[in-house]
Amino acid sequence: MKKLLWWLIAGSSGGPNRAKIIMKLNERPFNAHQLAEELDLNYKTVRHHLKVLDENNVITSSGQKYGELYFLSDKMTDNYDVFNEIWDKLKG
Amino acid sequence: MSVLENVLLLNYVAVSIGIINICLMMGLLYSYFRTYKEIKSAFTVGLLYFTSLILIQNIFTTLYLAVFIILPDPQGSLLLEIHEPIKPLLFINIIQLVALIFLYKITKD
Repeated sequence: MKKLLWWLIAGSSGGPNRAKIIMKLNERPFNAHQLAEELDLNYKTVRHHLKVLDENNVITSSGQKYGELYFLSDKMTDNYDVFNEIWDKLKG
Repeated sequence: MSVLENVLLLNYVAVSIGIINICLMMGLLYSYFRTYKEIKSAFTVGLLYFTSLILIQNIFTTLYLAVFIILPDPQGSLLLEIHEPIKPLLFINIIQLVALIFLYKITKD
């Protein structure tokens, strides 16, 4: 999980935005539109990041297509300290 | 096609692939640098070092291959004499191209 998170956040492009999404979803579940608003990101960008995070079992969704809510996966919540470790290296 | 024309063609192809590789590497370097600016860590620095070194390697290889094209050699005698490295270098370049395409795809999603 650790290596995967490192890659998703610090390796592939748009990584820092994914980290922000993870931090938001740690507060509570959101749907894609809300995340775009909260983080001031393009909706399509958010949808793309959510898809990548979902594929990698970092998040899961409520299942319905429209307005689908996203949650952190169990695996992610178990490894949240790893995530914090990575995010602590954030500049400023 | 004569041996000379054959070799020259392979040389051009090898140089072209080398140039494509260099472009891909620069794209990767740019991507990794952007992430590095936001997240400074051994991981992000490591990616930059890795990518830079492979880029330098590709520049050297491409320059070496390009020498045969740049140097004036009207009879092709120079080329005929020392054309041995071209085929292996071409092979290496092709493999690198495929490898870089994979890496590029997973980096840029």
